[in-house]
Amino acid sequence: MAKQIQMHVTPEGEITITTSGFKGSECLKATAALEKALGKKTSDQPTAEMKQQEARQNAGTSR
Amino acid sequence: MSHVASVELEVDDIPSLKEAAKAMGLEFVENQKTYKWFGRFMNDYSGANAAHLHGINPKDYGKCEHAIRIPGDSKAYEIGVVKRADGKPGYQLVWDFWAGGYGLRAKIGNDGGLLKQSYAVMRAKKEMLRKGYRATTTKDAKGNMLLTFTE
Repeated sequence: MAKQIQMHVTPEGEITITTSGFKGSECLKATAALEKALGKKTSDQPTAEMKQQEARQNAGTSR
Repeated sequence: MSHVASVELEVDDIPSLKEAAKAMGLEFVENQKTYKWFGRFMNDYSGANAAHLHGINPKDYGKCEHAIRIPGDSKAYEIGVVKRADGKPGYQLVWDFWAGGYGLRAKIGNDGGLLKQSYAVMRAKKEMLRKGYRATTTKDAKGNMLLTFTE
């Protein structure tokens, strides 16, 4: 899956940034500069994809 | 791993603001130290977006570092680009929207949303192109802008 950052900006100027295709904490690093350039991050939530990856990683380390 | 982040826009880059204004058909007037407004603080508005509730002293209304205006429209109020009241680097955008700013609000949207949107697009593209990403931009029927950055 290609690494991708999507940014959605409403006509009210509200900004949402979504990432996909990144491994581990890469996505947080990839968007850090963008978020800083735009302003102040007000929320940050993992996507379902991220939760699944974390679950798989946890399952792997407990074996 | 993927995540979704919400970001509250802050203006810190004048070149991007200039591009944003130009893209909207507005004129960025560098070093114009006053912006057109009603001219007298009436203390008749205390909504959440009132400038005096965001650290701007009403005595400084009308003063700015730069201004943005609708070219050829002498009736419309103007936008003041002022230094952040909290002393941090960056700027705040201030305007008088009484009577829709006599045409200004129709151009920049409620609460300046369309100008903020345009600035966010310019600022994001500048940052991500600098980092080597490719960017595509699309606009949907509701006016939302979607930027996609790929390595």
